[in-house]
Amino acid sequence: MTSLPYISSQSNTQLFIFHSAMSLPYELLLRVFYLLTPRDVCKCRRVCTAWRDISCDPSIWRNFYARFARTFVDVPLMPVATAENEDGYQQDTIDWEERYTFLRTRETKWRKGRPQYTHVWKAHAFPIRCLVLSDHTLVTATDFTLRAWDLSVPLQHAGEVPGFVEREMERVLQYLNVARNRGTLFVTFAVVGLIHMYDLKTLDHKGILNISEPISFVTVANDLDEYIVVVTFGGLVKVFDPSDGTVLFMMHNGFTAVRTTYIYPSYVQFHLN
Amino acid sequence: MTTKVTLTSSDNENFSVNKEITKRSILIKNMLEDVGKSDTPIPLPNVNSKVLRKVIEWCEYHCMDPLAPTNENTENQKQNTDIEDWDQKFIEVDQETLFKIILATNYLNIKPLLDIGCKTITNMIKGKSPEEIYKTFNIVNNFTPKEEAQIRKENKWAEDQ
Repeated sequence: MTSLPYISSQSNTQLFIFHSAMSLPYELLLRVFYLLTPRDVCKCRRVCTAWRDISCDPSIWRNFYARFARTFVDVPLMPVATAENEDGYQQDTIDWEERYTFLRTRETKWRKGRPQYTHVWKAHAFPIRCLVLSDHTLVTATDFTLRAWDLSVPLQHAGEVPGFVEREMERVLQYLNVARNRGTLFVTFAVVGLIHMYDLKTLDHKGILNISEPISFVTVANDLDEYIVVVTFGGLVKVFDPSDGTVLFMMHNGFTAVRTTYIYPSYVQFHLN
Repeated sequence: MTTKVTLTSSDNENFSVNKEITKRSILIKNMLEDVGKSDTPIPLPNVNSKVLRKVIEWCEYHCMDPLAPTNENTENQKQNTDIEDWDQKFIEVDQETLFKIILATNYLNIKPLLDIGCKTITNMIKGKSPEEIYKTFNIVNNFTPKEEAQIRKENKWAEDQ
């Protein structure tokens, strides 16, 4: 038995699939499939050739991808690749099912503590000073360059370099922190007492927090507000709201050096040298 | 006084319906706006009397609901397949009628009822094995053994766990 030709959802073809009771057109079955879970869609793929064709519709998987990625407060780092077809319309060239399966597999394996695969690539020509990972974005920094890597795209070959955006730094940075929900990257220049804020995806500059004395440590509160706590070598502790740079809390603990800070939902703990 | 509109089903049965109620159907709403004031019955050649009666019953029950926004964004569509109690009872019909209701509401453009129909089918599929799905919908598996083995292989992640 030959399979039905693949019909994309963009075409307005009213294809009636006659299978006894299931005489619904493609568009309506697609509506039903939208409401299924990815696992159920994969099961439906085994029902018959017509259902298989629907289960492969890119719009379904694009939808699953978007829904799944949003759970992790993420969007693709790199602009979505589109190619123009003969009519000049932008055509989606991404295999959304592959993308979705990739992310899902990674999350599952991550939770089980097993690596999905090992991928090695040369990130910088100079040694990496620090790095920070947030969902599907990895930020690496050498003394003078920042790079944000898009890890949401599966890589096919060994040594293949994931997509990235780059930004030159004027001086040597000390720490990287990420406010995940805000999508903000904090770059600390400890010696001069400055914290620059960048967009995590584009590395666009968003603002500066000026501490004006050497910084010992920076922590981001791991909750919805994502306040940033800065401790200086002089023993000054400041808590900022990074959206407008307001100082929410300030104290001088009288000690000379705070080594690390931890933030719990309602209080900050300092570890002193 | 409320105005009545006459709808004619495919088997030539006339239904006299409150004008406000027929506006649940975007198709009829647009037709009425185009035609203006007219007493001519509206023919619905794609809907038979049994299905039309069901659809009108639904519209009458839901006549007080606020009109749903017309723009449709599938990306933001919630993956919620819960159906309200009254609607659940309403949609408990044989499969043939269910499919006809879905086709009719798609034609008449009554999105909330179309959603209920699609959700009902979704709930019939959910959690079932492919074998159970053939049975439920009376579908013939038209794969060659080779194709089927191939799909099983590619589908592995969905089957384990």
